[in-house]
Amino acid sequence: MRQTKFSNFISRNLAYIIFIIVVATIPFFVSSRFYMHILIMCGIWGIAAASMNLIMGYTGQVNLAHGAFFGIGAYSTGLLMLKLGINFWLALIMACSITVAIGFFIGLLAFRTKGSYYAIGTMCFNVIVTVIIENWEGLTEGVRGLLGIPRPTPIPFPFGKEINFTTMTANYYLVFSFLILTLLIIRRIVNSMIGRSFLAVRGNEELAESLGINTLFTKLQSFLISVFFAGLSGGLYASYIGFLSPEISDYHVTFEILIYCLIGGLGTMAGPIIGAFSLTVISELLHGMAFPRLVAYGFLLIIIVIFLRGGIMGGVHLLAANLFLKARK
Amino acid sequence: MLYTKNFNGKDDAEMALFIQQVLNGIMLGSIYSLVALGLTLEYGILHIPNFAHGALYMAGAYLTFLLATQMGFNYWLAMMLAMIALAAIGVLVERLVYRPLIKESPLNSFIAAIGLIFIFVDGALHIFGPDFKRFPPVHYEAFQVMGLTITLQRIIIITVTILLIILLQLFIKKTTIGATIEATAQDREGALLMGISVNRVRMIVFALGTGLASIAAALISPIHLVYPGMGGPVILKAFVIIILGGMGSIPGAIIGGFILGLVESLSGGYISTAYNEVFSFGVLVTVLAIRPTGLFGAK
Amino acid sequence: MNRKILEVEGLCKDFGGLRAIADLSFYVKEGEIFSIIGPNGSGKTTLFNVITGFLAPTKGKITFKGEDISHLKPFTIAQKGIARTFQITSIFGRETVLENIKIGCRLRAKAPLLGTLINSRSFQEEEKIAQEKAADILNFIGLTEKRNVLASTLTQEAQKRLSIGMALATEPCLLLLDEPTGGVNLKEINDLISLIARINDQGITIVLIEHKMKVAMELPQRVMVLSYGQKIAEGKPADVGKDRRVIEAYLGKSYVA
Repeated sequence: MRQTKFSNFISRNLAYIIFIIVVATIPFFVSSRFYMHILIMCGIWGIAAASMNLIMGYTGQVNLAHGAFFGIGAYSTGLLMLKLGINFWLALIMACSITVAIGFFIGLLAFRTKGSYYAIGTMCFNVIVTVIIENWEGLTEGVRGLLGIPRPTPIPFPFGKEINFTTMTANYYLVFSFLILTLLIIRRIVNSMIGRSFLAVRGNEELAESLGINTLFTKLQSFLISVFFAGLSGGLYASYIGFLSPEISDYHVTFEILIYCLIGGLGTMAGPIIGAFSLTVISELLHGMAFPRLVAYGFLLIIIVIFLRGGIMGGVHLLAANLFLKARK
Repeated sequence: MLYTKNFNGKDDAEMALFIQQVLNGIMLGSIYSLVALGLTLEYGILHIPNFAHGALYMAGAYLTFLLATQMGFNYWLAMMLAMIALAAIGVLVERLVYRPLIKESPLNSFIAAIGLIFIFVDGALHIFGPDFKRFPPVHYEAFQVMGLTITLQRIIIITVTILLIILLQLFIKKTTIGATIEATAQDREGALLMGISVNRVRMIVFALGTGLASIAAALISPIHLVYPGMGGPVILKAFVIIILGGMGSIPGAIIGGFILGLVESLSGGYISTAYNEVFSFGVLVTVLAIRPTGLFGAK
Repeated sequence: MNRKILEVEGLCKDFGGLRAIADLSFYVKEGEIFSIIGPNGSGKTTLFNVITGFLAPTKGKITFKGEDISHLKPFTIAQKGIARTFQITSIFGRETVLENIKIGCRLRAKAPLLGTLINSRSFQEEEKIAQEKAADILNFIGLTEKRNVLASTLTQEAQKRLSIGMALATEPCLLLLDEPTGGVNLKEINDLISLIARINDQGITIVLIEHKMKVAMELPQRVMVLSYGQKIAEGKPADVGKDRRVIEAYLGKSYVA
């Protein structure tokens, strides 16, 4: 009996288990700072993309304020650490709470609108947030930026030792621990009754309402969870990079995260991760060259949206379905 | 207040400042109206907003600049040629990008538009560089009227805009093509049944809308200069306008454009230029919260 | 069993200048099957939309189990125990049949966020209950074999049954069916009729909008006829069928014997 339950567990969670194993062992093979940096950035953007996927892919709401929340999370963490001397862990929790609180008000306002109006409205919020960060110099240092944000505070260990975050490896494990936690949480939510409400709102709001689903509450719930993780990824970014400027809350950030989700495939768990990882790697590798990165992204987007709507994961599912059909014949 | 019986120096200056701001607002409003008009026309046909409108606006500015400086064309000729070229580009964009996505959810058209924006804006960045381009000195003559300084360019902007608005109205109301545009905007299937070629209408509307944007860009460039990101603020404001005025409403776009231009100019002059974008968006958000379909909005 | 489960009093619904429902009053008895018929545009679907909260009444009152529900939101009304289907078959096409039913189960599940996250005992219990309930409903509507099929690939008739199943998952006391046999062929109609009868046997009151005379007259205990938003007849099917005004409304004055 226990054997079957265990093997069941393994088969259902195989992808995640493999992912965790790979993630855990990579630092033994990679030592170059450059590659470790790329991986850490992959992790951070992975969290951001996975959270956007929740509100956009699973709940079907075109929320374009995501970059703003990334920025709010980043600046909150940075400011709490720099100006109030609060340690990283507490600052991170507080930053996420602040992000959710602001998200609550923005969400309430934004969800009074639908469709295109909602998309534009959230985009406007994004711009407003960036402008505020840029101009409220007293708080955020404006365009000068926040410098010298410390790395995460060391965690005390028994026997007088501690885990400190001065090495790339330590930061790598930190970021990826959060990434895996994020994925597990989102997956749990998506596969639950709450997740079903999200799918219902995505599918047909009127029908969802007639089935007793409070669509406003559901949208807000999805939005706030999504915003929480956006703030989390921002906080991790702030402490790792150590430097912030208003640009990180810009709508360009929103669109980059959007591209990660689209190329990987909205509405799947693996999609945003695949998109975030592959594009971060590509863009960091091409950093030196005078490569019009966004032009390429632009063409990629148009081609995907016209010909390969589900992104990479969508293509994978189609392929799998076709193979399955062929096998049955 | 700004008016006193005795015209002493301080009030004179305040009055002059006020009128200056109002004129500036009308000028800005002209540009915004033209851009919003193109956007609202396209929305009437597409039923989703053309998010790439700002990128095409920027392309119009760069092309005009290129023709005027590299090719040495006269300003007006450059503007005309650029407008024609942009109209053609607009038609291509509609045909290759938006038309395949007609039956899909609006999200896909939106994403494709983002792709277009990346291509145009980043392309401009790489071809021309990030610096602000100046137009060759033209129309910088200034007039002194009642203690105010007005440059010729501003007068040109306002005049050309009014002319274009009148021409557009005549075109839509008095010509057959205009009638087909209105018919298709109101009821696509009905128009199809009447034998109207909806595809041709889409083409014409996009040529029109993009052409208007190009002219607007060419008009404002001598004052506000040309740079890759110039489409961003303008397009966001155009959205504010058509949402306030109602997506698809022509009077809404015109009135909304001038209102926004005035609000921005006056708040910029009397409060702070930094926050004026926040102000505009704040107005938008407030209106949407009260009337989620805009001031004149139908649905 | 003779209690009025739903009562509509003096209901009016205007759309600008158009009066879609004019001073309509009727009631539905608990446990019965009540059908509403009438020519196109007589306001039947509008009536459903007003009752279920998708439209606000211009005037009048709607009472459900003694409670005034005239101005409640649709999801609240569903919570109170009224479920409905739509004239244009509405299902979640991207999901499987089983998932569709499970979404219907959402209403009666508590679904707490914290419990979900920590995989609490009550969360697991609820998942199990939902799974069992969904299996029962699938069996009841005859779609057990198709439970892992994508809902959009079902036939029209199967989709109708699915939408009824989803409505049943909300555990309603009153079920409003808007043209449940729309677009369905003769053989399939009998299956649907028997399904509706079986639902009624479970004690669920049913109000039916129907166009097909066979369904509209055979199933219900009572029928109401609407024309231009007004009630022109009400009573037993046989009586209503012979009513002059009804014949006139459907076929015109020249057909009145």
